[in-house]
Amino acid sequence: MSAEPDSTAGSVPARADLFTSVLFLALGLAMLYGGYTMDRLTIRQIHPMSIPGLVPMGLGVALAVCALVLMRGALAAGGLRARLALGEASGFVRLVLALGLCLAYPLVLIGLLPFWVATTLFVTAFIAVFEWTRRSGRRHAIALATALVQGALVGLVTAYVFSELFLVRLP
Amino acid sequence: MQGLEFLAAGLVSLLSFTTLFNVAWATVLGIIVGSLPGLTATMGVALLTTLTYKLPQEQAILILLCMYVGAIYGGSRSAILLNIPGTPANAATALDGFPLARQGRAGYAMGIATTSSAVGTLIGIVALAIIAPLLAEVALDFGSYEFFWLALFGVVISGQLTASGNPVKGYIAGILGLMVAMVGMEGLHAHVRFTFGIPEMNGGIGLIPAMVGAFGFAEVLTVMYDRRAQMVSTKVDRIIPRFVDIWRYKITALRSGVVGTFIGVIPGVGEDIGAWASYALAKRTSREKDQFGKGSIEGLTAAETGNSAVVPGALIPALTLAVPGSAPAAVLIAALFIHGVRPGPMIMIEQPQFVYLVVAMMLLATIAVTVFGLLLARPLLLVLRISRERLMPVVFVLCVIGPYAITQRMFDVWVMLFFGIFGFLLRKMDYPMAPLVLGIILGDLLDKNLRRGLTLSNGDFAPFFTRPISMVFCTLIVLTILASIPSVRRGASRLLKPKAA
Repeated sequence: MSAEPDSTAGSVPARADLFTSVLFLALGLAMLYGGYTMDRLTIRQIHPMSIPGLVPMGLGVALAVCALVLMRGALAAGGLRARLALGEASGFVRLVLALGLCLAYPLVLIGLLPFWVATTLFVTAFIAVFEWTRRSGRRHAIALATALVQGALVGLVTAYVFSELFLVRLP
Repeated sequence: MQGLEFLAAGLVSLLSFTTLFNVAWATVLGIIVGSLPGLTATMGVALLTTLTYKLPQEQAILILLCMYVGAIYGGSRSAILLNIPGTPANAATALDGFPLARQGRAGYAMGIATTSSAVGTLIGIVALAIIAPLLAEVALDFGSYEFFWLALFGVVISGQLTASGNPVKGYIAGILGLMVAMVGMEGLHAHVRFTFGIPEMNGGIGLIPAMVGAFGFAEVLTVMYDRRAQMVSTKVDRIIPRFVDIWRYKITALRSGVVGTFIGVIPGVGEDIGAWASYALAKRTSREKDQFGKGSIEGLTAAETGNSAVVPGALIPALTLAVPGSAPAAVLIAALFIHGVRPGPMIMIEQPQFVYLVVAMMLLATIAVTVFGLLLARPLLLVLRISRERLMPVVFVLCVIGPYAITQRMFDVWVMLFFGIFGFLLRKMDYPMAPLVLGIILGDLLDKNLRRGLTLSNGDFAPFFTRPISMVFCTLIVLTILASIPSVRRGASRLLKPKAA
């Protein structure tokens, strides 16, 4: 959503398109197969044109056709020759960190700890990790402290607001 | 005029303290959500749906509408001040808003954006009040054949118009959405499909968890991946625009409002296209077209009027056909179902006063956005200083609470996580999200009506092509697909362009 020149703005590498087109072709064919082999419910004597697998088959064919068109475009744009670029390294690192933290929160923390504790830990860790690189030495302690404050605030406030005011159950 | 009666009754019923309080905080929250890059209208409406689902029906829908209107307006702030649109709908606003900010006229630009948003929403509201009942009337004649084509048309046109480069990617996104809708128990024979033995999948993939994932979690990942932004100026000058300026561009505003409403009615094509189409049209017909891109008030007006008019426009098919006109409208449809309202042609028969209640709610939302937009211009600047490291974890916490809140299943949280990662990857690969959402919503409609139609006609495909409304849809779909083939487009433009002398 940014207006700055972004490597992904309409110029996805042809190699990536080629890769995904193969994936989609496989998915389309799989769906076609799934629809074809789906139970025809002959026992119930339903109309043959209303079998559950009808639309999945159609979608499978449509996806396969689109994948082939995409593949043709990617090949024409030099997909086989181009090298796969992973995007700028710093963005990738941030992404992996963010993804790791975000997955740890519902998958690990919430099951083990009360909701507000898990939320506090997650928010604190998230802010601390990303602000670590932006500040130096002495500021680290301040950053950690503010992160902890915000973490606790978010954890307690959301737990209270949503379970008491909005009457919503928490994980 | 029963419509006006209902409208008056609706307005009166909304004038209570609780209601006005809800309008206030929901609108301000919407403006904040819209103005923060990384938070979008769809995300806001989706998260708020999950968090307000225990509230009474009217209050919940009102809150969601205020969030929607507020968010689409709010994005103009960061577009003007940061050159980063707060939501995709405000991308065209940045083109002229940011140069104005650099000229030291940021406050004025925000004022123009506020009034343009109000005008655009009002034009759309008038269209909603008039067209929705008429459309519902026409839709009562729709049979299975027509609904099938309508569902297919929605996916195809959304794929064609929202794909930024290759329309094939739009179609693929739509097909993927339709495929997601195939999971679970199907509607005709109660046969369970594609659950791979997981019992939680019997009910299918929930729309809300998928939307929160694709527009919430995916956005968090996108924001953390991209580079950060720099605010240009915090000096805010005069905010209330001069009446002279508003009046000068009244034709542009009116035209952009109509274009925006029309774009809103087209399924799945949302505020961002509305803004661009209005902007492009204004530029082409303007007497000051060289000013566009350098701080043209007319351009800014066109962009903001256009994107705001889409909001009520998108509600027209959403209420009368249960086909969303935009991504946030898709979430609203899900919210309506959750609260016991059934959108579709029968709405004018079962609950006609509801449509006018929505019109009344939109009026309140517009007034609130204008008032708060002008009053809170300076305080809201502080909001833009929040760094993403502090904001994104809070958003993610909401993304986790949200899906769980409605169904109390961790499975929906896993769905959210999956669609978040999936949505992020698709977006990085340049696939539009709107057709995906439409596919998920319309999949059931398409599937049931195709098979029901074939059963009714005993396997004969002819009614799909010979019934008049069906013929119209079918032709539109064929034309849309043909228009996306490059060789066809080249041939057509050669035919249409006059020969060079």
